Amino acid sequence: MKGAGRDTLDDQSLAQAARAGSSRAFAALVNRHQAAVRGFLRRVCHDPTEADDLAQEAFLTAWGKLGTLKPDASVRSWLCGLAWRKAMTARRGRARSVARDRQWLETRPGFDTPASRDQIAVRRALEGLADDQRAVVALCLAADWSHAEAAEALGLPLGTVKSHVSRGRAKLLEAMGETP
Amino acid sequence: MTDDERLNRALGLGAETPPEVDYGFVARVAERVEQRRLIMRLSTAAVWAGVAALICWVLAPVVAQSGSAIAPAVQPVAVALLLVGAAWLTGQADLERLASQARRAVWPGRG
Repeated sequence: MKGAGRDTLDDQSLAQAARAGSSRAFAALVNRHQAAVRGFLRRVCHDPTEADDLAQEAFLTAWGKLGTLKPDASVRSWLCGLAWRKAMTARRGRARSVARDRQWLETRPGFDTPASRDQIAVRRALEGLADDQRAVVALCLAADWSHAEAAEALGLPLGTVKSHVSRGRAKLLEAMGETP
Repeated sequence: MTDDERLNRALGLGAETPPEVDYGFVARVAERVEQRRLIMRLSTAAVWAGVAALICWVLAPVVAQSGSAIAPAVQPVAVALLLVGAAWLTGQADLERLASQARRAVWPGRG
């Protein structure tokens, strides 16, 4: 299998090759989905470095669980689902990083602009959302995932996802409305 | 700017957005995968070694009893099998790669 050909293979074919022992196929999968997984984790976590560490853990877990990937499943959703469970496991006992992150966000250079005030308000509002709701908002509002994809990734009913999107959006808009 | 546009901009990660292509990240994951693969192989080898030791331990009395009678006939065959097996294992194993992986597992960042 040539490297150039591997780029054109679909996710399931790559996963199948990786399951058969191909390190290159798995690396191609990582390369293809790392931005989505890391972007998702950076929105639901409070620390980009921690998010990247969790993303590595998620890919490592994915490598070990390639056999459980269903043939008709979306690999991106499956990976983000694994990442989400990693984030939930790591979230316990991490309250101090929330305060540290907020302090960093407020003291970073150039924060005093309308855009960054919105960002701070949205970040705070995200922190106030329930875990599931925050994950849904991160996927559907920030990363333009479909409701069905988010439901598959997070293991939530479609109706719950729609409800989370609607309520989460309202809360974030409300939070931005409170900014001067 | 509409509320939705403001919200989309605020939800963006800006400078924290991960790059679409990040070979450094891919390499770190690949390295950890190879480390885990090595650990799994070593674990599997250890289990098989344990099984072989157990079989030898169980068979030892039987072999000891009948050994004196059949030893002259079996010894050349056993030596030949041992040599063939060793040659096969040597051909199969990528010893340099194995050593490199072991170094990275013990000293991450080196090797």
